[in-house]
Amino acid sequence: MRMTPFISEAARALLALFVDDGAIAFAILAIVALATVCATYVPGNTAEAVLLAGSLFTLFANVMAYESA
Amino acid sequence: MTWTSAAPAVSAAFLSSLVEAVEALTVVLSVAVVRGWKAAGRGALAGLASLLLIVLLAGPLLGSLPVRPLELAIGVLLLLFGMRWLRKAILRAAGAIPMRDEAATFLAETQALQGTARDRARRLGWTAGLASYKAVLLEGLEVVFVVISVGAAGHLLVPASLGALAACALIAALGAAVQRPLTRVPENALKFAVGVMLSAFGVFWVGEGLGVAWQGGDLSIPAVAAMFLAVSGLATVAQKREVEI
Repeated sequence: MRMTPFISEAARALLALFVDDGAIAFAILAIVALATVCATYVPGNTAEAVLLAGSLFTLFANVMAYESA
Repeated sequence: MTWTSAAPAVSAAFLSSLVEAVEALTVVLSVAVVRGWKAAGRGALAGLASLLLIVLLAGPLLGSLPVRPLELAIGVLLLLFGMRWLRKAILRAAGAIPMRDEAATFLAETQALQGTARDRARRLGWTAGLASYKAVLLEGLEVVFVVISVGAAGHLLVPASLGALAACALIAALGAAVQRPLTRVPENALKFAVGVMLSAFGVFWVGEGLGVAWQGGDLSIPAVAAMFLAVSGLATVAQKREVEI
């Protein structure tokens, strides 16, 4: 059995667990980064709002940006 | 442990396991058809053993990590994982991408294995066993991730594991009884529901990791899930209109 293709396939599958569409993954990470900044420097519920509204908006925008072949 | 925090975790583990077990069963069944239950069973058992090893190694490791960074890391991974499932489920529900077809997958896997049988008869047993192993391992990894993430962050590893095991046992029993792919399981609806729940968990745990004080504590998880459900429903309807135009 050739192990290298199997291991690389498993590594790809592991990455694909979390990243399917690069744009949505990048947007989520950006929202988390922004929420982290807000949680550190901005008082109140700003981080909570950024996190929740950002995630919901990202999902909606990404779905609407999809163009079927 | 409260019912309000345990119920979403157990449901998410149960439903995601249901989906993944159906997908793994399709491949295991095709191996069984071409090479017999012995090769299919060996591969599946080896896959389950590998998954058990991963859980046994990862479980204690997670317990030794500091809580806040762990919550943040798990939250981010859950958000990535949950929104990936939700996005795909929305696009499938809207008709933008085709639904997963277990019957077609079963046929393709069977034909691929039969092709191998003609080309390299001696290696078929090994290839078939490996196909079964890979299906259980790769689909099972998603289950393990869901169980560990929703379980470890909320100290609900045991109930989440039981939920996942119940789903796997149910699908294994159904598969053994009917001996054909479970095409009637509403996979996309399940993925939609799991995507909503995991995305809500993700937002909640990222917030906890950042020190956000959620109003209502654990009760905010169903509230966040309701918001994801509403936006997902809206996105499905809107994308469906785009597809129809």
